[in-house]
Amino acid sequence: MSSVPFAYNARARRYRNIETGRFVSVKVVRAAVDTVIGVEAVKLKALAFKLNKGEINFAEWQLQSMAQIKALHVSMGLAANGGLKNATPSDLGYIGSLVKEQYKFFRNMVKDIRQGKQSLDGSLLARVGLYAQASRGTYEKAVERAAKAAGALESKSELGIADHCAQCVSEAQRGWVAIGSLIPIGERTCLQNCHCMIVYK
Amino acid sequence: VDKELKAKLGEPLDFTDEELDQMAEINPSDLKVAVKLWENAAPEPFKKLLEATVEKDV
Repeated sequence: MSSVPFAYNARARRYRNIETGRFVSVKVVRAAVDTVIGVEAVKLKALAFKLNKGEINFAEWQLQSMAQIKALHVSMGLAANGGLKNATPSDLGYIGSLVKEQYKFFRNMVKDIRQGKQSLDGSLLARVGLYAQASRGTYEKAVERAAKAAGALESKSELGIADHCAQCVSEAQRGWVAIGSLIPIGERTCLQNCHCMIVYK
Repeated sequence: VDKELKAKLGEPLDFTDEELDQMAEINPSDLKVAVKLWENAAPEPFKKLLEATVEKDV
Protein backbone atom coordinates (compact mmCIF):
# COMPACT_ATOMS: atom_id res chain seq x y z
CA MET A 1 0.00 0.00 0.00
CA SER A 2 1.46 3.38 -0.93
CA SER A 3 0.86 6.80 0.56
CA VAL A 4 -2.41 8.39 -0.47
CA PRO A 5 -3.39 12.05 -0.60
CA PHE A 6 -5.45 13.49 2.24
CA ALA A 7 -7.56 16.55 2.82
CA TYR A 8 -8.48 18.03 6.19
CA ASN A 9 -11.91 19.32 7.10
CA ALA A 10 -11.47 21.88 9.87
CA ARG A 11 -15.16 21.91 10.83
CA ALA A 12 -15.28 18.14 11.28
CA ARG A 13 -11.68 18.15 12.57
CA ARG A 14 -11.07 15.05 10.47
CA TYR A 15 -8.75 13.96 7.69
CA ARG A 16 -10.31 12.62 4.53
CA ASN A 17 -8.73 10.01 2.30
CA ILE A 18 -9.12 11.65 -1.11
CA GLU A 19 -8.98 8.31 -2.97
CA THR A 20 -11.87 6.74 -1.06
CA GLY A 21 -13.66 9.96 -0.12
CA ARG A 22 -14.00 8.67 3.43
CA PHE A 23 -13.04 10.32 6.68
CA VAL A 24 -10.11 8.71 8.49
CA SER A 25 -11.05 7.67 12.01
CA VAL A 26 -9.39 9.55 14.86
CA LYS A 27 -8.22 6.21 16.25
CA VAL A 28 -6.39 5.40 13.03
CA VAL A 29 -4.68 8.80 13.03
CA ARG A 30 -3.75 8.31 16.66
CA ALA A 31 -2.25 4.89 15.80
CA ALA A 32 -0.06 6.58 13.17
CA VAL A 33 0.92 9.16 15.79
CA ASP A 34 1.95 6.37 18.18
CA THR A 35 4.03 4.71 15.45
CA VAL A 36 5.91 7.95 14.76
CA ILE A 37 6.55 8.42 18.48
CA GLY A 38 7.91 4.88 18.75
CA VAL A 39 10.35 5.42 15.88
CA GLU A 40 11.57 8.73 17.26
CA ALA A 41 11.97 7.40 20.80
CA VAL A 42 14.48 4.89 19.44
CA LYS A 43 16.40 7.69 17.71
CA LEU A 44 16.54 9.82 20.87
CA LYS A 45 17.79 6.84 22.84
CA ALA A 46 20.42 6.16 20.18
CA LEU A 47 21.74 9.70 20.62
CA ALA A 48 21.98 9.21 24.39
CA PHE A 49 23.75 5.91 23.78
CA LYS A 50 26.34 7.73 21.66
CA LEU A 51 26.86 10.19 24.52
CA ASN A 52 27.26 7.38 27.03
CA LYS A 53 29.93 5.84 24.78
CA GLY A 54 31.74 9.14 24.26
CA GLU A 55 31.02 9.12 20.52
CA ILE A 56 29.55 12.64 20.72
CA ASN A 57 30.17 15.35 23.29
CA PHE A 58 27.64 16.99 25.60
CA ALA A 59 27.03 19.99 23.35
CA GLU A 60 26.49 17.83 20.27
CA TRP A 61 24.13 15.56 22.17
CA GLN A 62 22.15 18.47 23.61
CA LEU A 63 21.74 20.29 20.31
CA GLN A 64 20.92 17.17 18.31
CA SER A 65 18.45 15.94 20.93
CA MET A 66 16.75 19.32 21.21
CA ALA A 67 16.44 19.55 17.43
CA GLN A 68 14.87 16.11 17.34
CA ILE A 69 12.49 16.90 20.22
CA LYS A 70 11.40 20.06 18.43
CA ALA A 71 10.84 18.31 15.11
CA LEU A 72 8.82 15.55 16.78
CA HIS A 73 6.62 17.88 18.84
CA VAL A 74 6.04 20.15 15.84
CA SER A 75 5.05 17.16 13.71
CA MET A 76 2.60 16.10 16.45
CA GLY A 77 1.16 19.60 16.59
CA LEU A 78 0.76 19.66 12.82
CA ALA A 79 -0.91 16.24 12.85
CA ALA A 80 -3.40 17.54 15.42
CA ASN A 81 -4.18 20.62 13.35
CA GLY A 82 -4.72 19.10 9.92
CA GLY A 83 -1.16 19.28 8.65
CA LEU A 84 1.04 22.04 7.31
CA LYS A 85 -1.52 23.73 5.06
CA ASN A 86 -4.22 23.81 7.71
CA ALA A 87 -2.23 24.94 10.76
CA THR A 88 -2.59 28.66 11.55
CA PRO A 89 0.07 31.02 12.96
CA SER A 90 -1.82 30.81 16.26
CA ASP A 91 -1.58 27.01 16.18
CA LEU A 92 2.16 27.25 15.54
CA GLY A 93 2.57 29.71 18.42
CA TYR A 94 0.81 27.27 20.71
CA ILE A 95 2.94 24.36 19.53
CA GLY A 96 6.05 26.50 20.08
CA SER A 97 4.97 27.09 23.68
CA LEU A 98 4.76 23.32 24.19
CA VAL A 99 8.22 22.87 22.66
CA LYS A 100 9.55 25.41 25.12
CA GLU A 101 8.08 23.42 28.02
CA GLN A 102 9.96 20.37 26.78
CA TYR A 103 13.16 22.35 26.42
CA LYS A 104 12.87 23.41 30.05
CA PHE A 105 12.42 19.80 31.16
CA PHE A 106 15.41 18.86 29.03
CA ARG A 107 17.45 21.63 30.67
CA ASN A 108 16.54 20.17 34.08
CA MET A 109 17.80 16.79 32.96
CA VAL A 110 21.07 18.31 31.80
CA LYS A 111 21.34 20.02 35.19
CA ASP A 112 20.84 16.63 36.86
CA ILE A 113 23.68 15.21 34.75
CA ARG A 114 25.92 18.14 35.67
CA GLN A 115 25.13 17.63 39.36
CA GLY A 116 25.68 13.88 39.19
CA LYS A 117 22.00 13.11 39.91
CA GLN A 118 21.56 11.54 36.48
CA SER A 119 24.09 8.89 35.51
CA LEU A 120 25.29 8.29 31.97
CA ASP A 121 23.90 4.79 31.80
CA GLY A 122 20.75 2.95 30.78
CA SER A 123 18.63 5.20 33.01
CA LEU A 124 19.52 8.15 30.75
CA LEU A 125 18.25 6.24 27.71
CA ALA A 126 14.98 5.55 29.50
CA ARG A 127 14.68 9.20 30.52
CA VAL A 128 15.33 10.65 27.07
CA GLY A 129 12.77 8.24 25.64
CA LEU A 130 10.16 10.07 27.72
CA TYR A 131 10.71 13.23 25.64
CA ALA A 132 9.44 11.33 22.64
CA GLN A 133 6.54 9.86 24.62
CA ALA A 134 5.69 13.37 25.86
CA SER A 135 4.90 14.36 22.28
CA ARG A 136 1.73 12.27 22.66
CA GLY A 137 0.67 14.89 25.21
CA THR A 138 1.51 17.63 22.70
CA TYR A 139 -0.70 15.92 20.12
CA GLU A 140 -3.59 15.52 22.58
CA LYS A 141 -3.30 19.10 23.87
CA ALA A 142 -3.34 20.45 20.33
CA VAL A 143 -6.34 18.24 19.48
CA GLU A 144 -8.21 19.60 22.49
CA ARG A 145 -7.36 23.17 21.58
CA ALA A 146 -8.64 22.62 18.03
CA ALA A 147 -11.80 20.95 19.36
CA LYS A 148 -12.52 23.87 21.69
CA ALA A 149 -11.95 26.34 18.85
CA ALA A 150 -14.42 24.39 16.71
CA GLY A 151 -17.06 24.56 19.44
CA ALA A 152 -16.80 21.13 21.07
CA LEU A 153 -18.28 21.12 24.57
CA GLU A 154 -17.69 17.60 25.85
CA SER A 155 -14.84 15.11 25.97
CA LYS A 156 -14.45 11.45 26.77
CA SER A 157 -11.34 9.46 27.66
CA GLU A 158 -10.90 6.16 25.83
CA LEU A 159 -8.49 3.46 26.92
CA GLY A 160 -5.72 2.60 24.49
CA ILE A 161 -4.00 -0.75 24.04
CA ALA A 162 -1.74 -0.82 27.09
CA ASP A 163 -1.58 -1.71 30.77
CA HIS A 164 -3.71 1.01 32.31
CA CYS A 165 -3.08 2.97 35.46
CA ALA A 166 -6.01 3.33 37.88
CA GLN A 167 -6.46 6.98 36.91
CA CYS A 168 -6.86 6.13 33.22
CA VAL A 169 -9.48 3.51 34.09
CA SER A 170 -11.43 5.92 36.31
CA GLU A 171 -11.20 8.73 33.74
CA ALA A 172 -12.56 6.38 31.05
CA GLN A 173 -15.43 5.36 33.34
CA ARG A 174 -16.60 8.98 33.63
CA GLY A 175 -17.93 8.91 30.06
CA TRP A 176 -18.77 12.25 28.41
CA VAL A 177 -17.87 15.22 30.61
CA ALA A 178 -17.38 18.96 30.12
CA ILE A 179 -14.38 19.69 27.93
CA GLY A 180 -11.29 20.48 29.97
CA SER A 181 -12.40 18.53 33.03
CA LEU A 182 -10.51 15.30 32.25
CA ILE A 183 -6.98 14.80 33.53
CA PRO A 184 -4.86 15.42 30.40
CA ILE A 185 -2.96 12.62 28.68
CA GLY A 186 0.56 12.61 30.07
CA GLU A 187 -0.48 14.03 33.46
CA ARG A 188 -2.01 10.87 34.89
CA THR A 189 -0.24 8.29 37.07
CA CYS A 190 1.22 6.61 33.98
CA LEU A 191 2.61 10.00 32.85
CA GLN A 192 4.14 10.05 29.35
CA ASN A 193 3.52 6.35 28.89
CA CYS A 194 -0.24 6.94 28.62
CA HIS A 195 -1.79 5.36 25.53
CA CYS A 196 -5.32 6.64 26.13
CA MET A 197 -6.95 9.13 23.81
CA ILE A 198 -9.58 11.80 24.33
CA VAL A 199 -12.43 12.31 21.89
CA TYR A 200 -14.63 15.40 21.62
CA LYS A 201 -18.15 16.40 20.60
CA VAL B 1 31.81 9.30 34.58
CA ASP B 2 35.50 8.42 34.45
CA LYS B 3 37.99 11.24 33.95
CA GLU B 4 38.90 10.29 30.41
CA LEU B 5 35.27 10.16 29.27
CA LYS B 6 34.45 13.37 31.15
CA ALA B 7 37.24 15.22 29.33
CA LYS B 8 36.01 13.85 26.01
CA LEU B 9 32.39 14.91 26.63
CA GLY B 10 33.21 18.48 27.61
CA GLU B 11 30.73 20.65 29.48
CA PRO B 12 26.98 20.74 28.79
CA LEU B 13 25.59 23.97 27.33
CA ASP B 14 23.60 26.17 29.69
CA PHE B 15 20.63 27.93 28.10
CA THR B 16 18.75 30.88 29.58
CA ASP B 17 14.95 31.18 29.42
CA GLU B 18 15.33 33.78 26.68
CA GLU B 19 17.54 31.48 24.63
CA LEU B 20 15.04 28.63 25.05
CA ASP B 21 12.27 31.02 23.95
CA GLN B 22 14.14 31.77 20.74
CA MET B 23 15.07 28.16 20.12
CA ALA B 24 11.45 27.03 20.58
CA GLU B 25 10.10 29.49 18.01
CA ILE B 26 8.85 27.69 14.94
CA ASN B 27 10.16 28.93 11.61
CA PRO B 28 9.53 27.63 8.06
CA SER B 29 12.57 25.35 8.12
CA ASP B 30 11.29 23.71 11.35
CA LEU B 31 8.03 22.94 9.56
CA LYS B 32 9.86 21.29 6.67
CA VAL B 33 11.91 19.19 9.09
CA ALA B 34 8.79 18.18 11.03
CA VAL B 35 6.92 17.14 7.89
CA LYS B 36 9.95 15.12 6.75
CA LEU B 37 10.23 13.45 10.15
CA TRP B 38 6.59 12.40 9.93
CA GLU B 39 6.98 11.15 6.37
CA ASN B 40 9.98 9.02 7.34
CA ALA B 41 8.46 7.56 10.50
CA ALA B 42 4.74 7.24 9.77
CA PRO B 43 3.28 3.97 8.49
CA GLU B 44 1.78 3.62 5.03
CA PRO B 45 -0.62 4.97 3.86
CA PHE B 46 -0.22 8.00 6.17
CA LYS B 47 3.20 9.27 5.14
CA LYS B 48 1.66 12.28 3.35
CA LEU B 49 -0.87 13.07 6.09
CA LEU B 50 0.82 16.33 7.10
CA GLU B 51 0.57 17.52 3.49
CA ALA B 52 -3.24 17.35 3.61
CA THR B 53 -5.04 19.94 1.53
CA VAL B 54 -7.62 22.30 2.97
CA GLU B 55 -11.13 20.89 2.49
CA LYS B 56 -13.72 23.58 1.97
CA ASP B 57 -17.22 22.95 3.28
CA VAL B 58 -19.80 23.00 0.52
